[in-house]
Amino acid sequence: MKTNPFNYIPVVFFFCMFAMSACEEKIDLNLTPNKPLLVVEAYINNIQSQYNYVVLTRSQDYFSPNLNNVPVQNAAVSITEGTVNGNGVYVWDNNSRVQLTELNNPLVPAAFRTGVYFDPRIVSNPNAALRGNIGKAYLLEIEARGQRYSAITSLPTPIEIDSLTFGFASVNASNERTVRITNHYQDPDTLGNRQLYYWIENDDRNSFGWGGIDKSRFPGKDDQTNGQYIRLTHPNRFEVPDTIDYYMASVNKDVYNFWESYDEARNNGGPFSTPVQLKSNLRGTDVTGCFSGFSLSLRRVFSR
Amino acid sequence: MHRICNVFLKNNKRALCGTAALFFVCCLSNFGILYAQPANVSVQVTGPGNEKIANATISINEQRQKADDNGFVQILLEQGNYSIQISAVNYFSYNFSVKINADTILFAELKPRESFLGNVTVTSSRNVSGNQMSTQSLSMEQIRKLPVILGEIDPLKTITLLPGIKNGGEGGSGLYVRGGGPDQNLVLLDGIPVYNPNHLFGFFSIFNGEAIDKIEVIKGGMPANFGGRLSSVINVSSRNGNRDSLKGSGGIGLISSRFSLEGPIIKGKSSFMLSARRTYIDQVARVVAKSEIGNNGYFFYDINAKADYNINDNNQLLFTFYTGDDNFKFSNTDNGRNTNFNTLWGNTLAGLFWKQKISNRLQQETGLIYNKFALTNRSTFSAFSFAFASGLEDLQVKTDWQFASNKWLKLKWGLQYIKHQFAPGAGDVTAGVQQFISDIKNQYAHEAAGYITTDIKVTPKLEMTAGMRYSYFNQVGPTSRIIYGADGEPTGETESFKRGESIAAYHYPEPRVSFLYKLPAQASIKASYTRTTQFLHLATTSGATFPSDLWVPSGEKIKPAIAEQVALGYFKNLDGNQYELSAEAYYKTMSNQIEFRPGAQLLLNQNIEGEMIFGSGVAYGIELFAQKKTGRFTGWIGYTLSRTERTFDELNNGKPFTYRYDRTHDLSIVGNYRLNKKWDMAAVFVYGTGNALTLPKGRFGFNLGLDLAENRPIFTNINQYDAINDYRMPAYHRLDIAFTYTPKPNSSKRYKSSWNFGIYNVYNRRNPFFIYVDVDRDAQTVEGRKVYLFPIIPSVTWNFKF
Repeated sequence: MKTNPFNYIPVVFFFCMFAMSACEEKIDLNLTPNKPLLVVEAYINNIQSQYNYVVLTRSQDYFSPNLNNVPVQNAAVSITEGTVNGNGVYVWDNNSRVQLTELNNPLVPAAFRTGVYFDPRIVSNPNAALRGNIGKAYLLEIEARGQRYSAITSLPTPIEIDSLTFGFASVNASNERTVRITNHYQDPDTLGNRQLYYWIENDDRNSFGWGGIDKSRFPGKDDQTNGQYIRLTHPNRFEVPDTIDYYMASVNKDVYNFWESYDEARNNGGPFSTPVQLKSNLRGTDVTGCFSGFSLSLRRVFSR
Repeated sequence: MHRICNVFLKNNKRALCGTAALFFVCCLSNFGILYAQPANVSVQVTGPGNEKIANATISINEQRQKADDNGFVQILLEQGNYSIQISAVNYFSYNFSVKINADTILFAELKPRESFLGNVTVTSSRNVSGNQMSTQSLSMEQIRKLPVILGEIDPLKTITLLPGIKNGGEGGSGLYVRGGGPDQNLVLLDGIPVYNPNHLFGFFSIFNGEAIDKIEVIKGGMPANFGGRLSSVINVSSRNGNRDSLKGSGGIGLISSRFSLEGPIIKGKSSFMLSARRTYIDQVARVVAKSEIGNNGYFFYDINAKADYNINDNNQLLFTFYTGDDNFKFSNTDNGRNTNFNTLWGNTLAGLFWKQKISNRLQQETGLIYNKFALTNRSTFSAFSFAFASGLEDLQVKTDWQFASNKWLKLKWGLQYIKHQFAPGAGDVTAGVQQFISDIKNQYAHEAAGYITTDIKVTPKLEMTAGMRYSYFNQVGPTSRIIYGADGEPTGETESFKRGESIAAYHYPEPRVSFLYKLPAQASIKASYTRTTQFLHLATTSGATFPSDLWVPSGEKIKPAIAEQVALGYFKNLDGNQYELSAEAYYKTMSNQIEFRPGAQLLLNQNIEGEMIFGSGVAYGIELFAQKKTGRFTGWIGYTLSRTERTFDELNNGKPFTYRYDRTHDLSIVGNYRLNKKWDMAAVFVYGTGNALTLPKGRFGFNLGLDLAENRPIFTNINQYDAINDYRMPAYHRLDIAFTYTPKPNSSKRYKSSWNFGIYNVYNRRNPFFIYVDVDRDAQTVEGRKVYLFPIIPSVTWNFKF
């Protein structure tokens, strides 16, 4: 979602310049070779064990003919639970360490299993598989190609969804109606609460992974609405009737900042854009990405 | 001084027509003549309607003097007979002899050389003999003859043809002077600062060619009476009205029309000038593309007004007013998705000035100035709406004094005070019924400066201008703000300041000094040192400037920017001053430069300072300039070899990186040829190294998912960046030509008209507007794309006056 009306300046601009017939053509760019980065996409949440996973890929030269991701295989990946003491020092429970492996997860087609790391129990004993606990911190450790990387995230106290309501959005010529969803909840009277919003519609049920479902993020900051009763309406339209699993993910600052920078990076383009660097929470050399801790609240609703 | 006699001489008017000048002599004698001491001779040069002719040349027994911006010069002469010639660009010169035996005031009214207006000359008026270096000016008559895109005369665009002054590339009108940023230029309209001198996101400037008289740029050796910006002074002067008769002029172009009316309010004493311009892009679009455009549209307009009143021979009042807005409306309903974008932005300027000649040696000018820039935006995108307002408002009072002690010493001093009010981008976002209100309070500041500067003729060959400006800035209450921690998180506390309570105060000395050493054979060497301070900063995250960019004051965290520049130049005139040559080298350092963290969100950000990072800059280069000033063929060649860098700890691993608008080579060739009395031809060729650019070195997919139905991965390509601005866009070059046709050049009728035919980008160079790289997974392609805006574009403009 674009958060800035002046992101529409290119629209405005080209509208005004219609008579000047802006054109474009292919240009050969001799870019210097890329320094490959390890790209880490890791999640830990409190509800869905299947959605606690780590994906390792490697960046490639911009003009590489390979349009797919380059998985990083055979890495040593582990997640350890811990706490933060009063001095802000993390204390890790080594007994909680879980080694994640590339495995034959039936949810993931064979062609896409390389570079995707799960708790092996997700297949052998799903009920005991890795699941995040509210208030805990988590340490991600990776050893790949002789390099070590790490990241820390945490699961803040989730905010409960009070209710989800629907409002009219549009109707087409076939009299098919769409609606918008409004999330009602009480924002805690503490500063620094941040949320991301995900939902799975019927159309999404044949997908897997956080990137396979819809996501939203609002431009407002907690200090603008602190302690208020919130009524957020998403711009997205939902078909009627539909079954929607709606997740509100409470996240810490680092995670929110990463996904904010991700939104900036993916919307970045046009004559006035400037490069956006992802605000990674990974530590190590030549690495980017995010270890996202999601404290989820879930509601299933039926659009009507 | 005791006035014992008044002698009033007036030439025969018929003879004046022949000599193209009116000439008055008023002789004031005092007791001094009894002792045969040197006489103080003042010369006031004007055009028709008492219009002051700046930079006129007065040659007395072949000793040349330059008039100031008001056409005034004062000279100390021994008693005796003198042969005097008064000349000015685009005016007939006048020669006469006069006997000086007492303090004398000479009034000269020169007749304009209208038939020669086609001569394009840069009035680099003090090339050899003036101490002020790094300064160039253009008159509107010169600018009007040059080819411009769509025939839209634009002084700000034209000055980029001069060395050391660069634009932002194709389409952009941000100015970058000697490596400085676009906010480092003090743009003045009749002495009134203009914060946003652009229309249409920088494609055009706010300066309506019909209302403007001339434009002057000082890019180094800035005199002490100017301050508040690091890099340059761009001084735009609007026209004075005609004091004798009512006159009108105008033009009809492809995208805009303009009209001016001027005349006397009280004949011979007071005049007015009123000028207006409006674009009709919106109206044309509705005709040619009604189905696509609907009621959407964009237009801008400008209104200039000016009036003057001579209270008496020694006192004059001047009033200047400008207002202009850009207005854009866009709405679209596509399959239930409503999009509305309404935004309005513009400047309002007003100034009242009192000019007083207290004595032949002492004069002052006091001004009261108001200026405002405001932007409002209301937008709706689907279930979202945005409301946003920003701007700033100044109230300024200033007084400038000038004292000419004798021909060896001149003094200038003055005071300036500005009360700033900033509205730094408050607004709200609504998602359905939920509002996110940005509680950003207005900010206030006092800015003041005092200066004194002196022109000293140390020896007949060595001149020095030494000045000191002392500037002061104080951000004050009333305001309140949320306190953020070092991690950028709100602490939950707020901080309040009472009205007038100091939040952060700064004061700096700004020494300025320049030297001129005259060499034999019409040549000279000049050198200057300048220290400048800037307290206001333009907050922008993009490479271009936008009306939504915020001017923010220096405060606790944002320190004032300081620049130091040294320049050295060699200047030479040839062939009776027909040719002027110059070579200047400069080196400039800039501290406390502001950038924003990559991806920083500025709009509605309550902690904008938390997004800022601070660094330094350096710029150096050589500027070569050669021009032919007179004859059927006139023009110039300007070339700049330069380099400018920035260094920020948080960017580029702390290493210096090339500034986006660094331009290694910059060449401009401007020529104007008078084919005959009816036809003039002008051509402009420009070449510049491409802008520096940051392009991705690599890419990777993120936000991964799987579409199990289609058995394919889902991800978003994210670009991987490395060094900043290490890629160069292709070089920019272009040739434009223009022909001006005056059907009846010798007509004595009141009504006159001319046609201007232009071709922009004659050889259809596809200069890059921007470059992007793209992965198209559907088309299975990865490629770089160049977007270019302006192909070959013809234009025609009809100008008239009566």
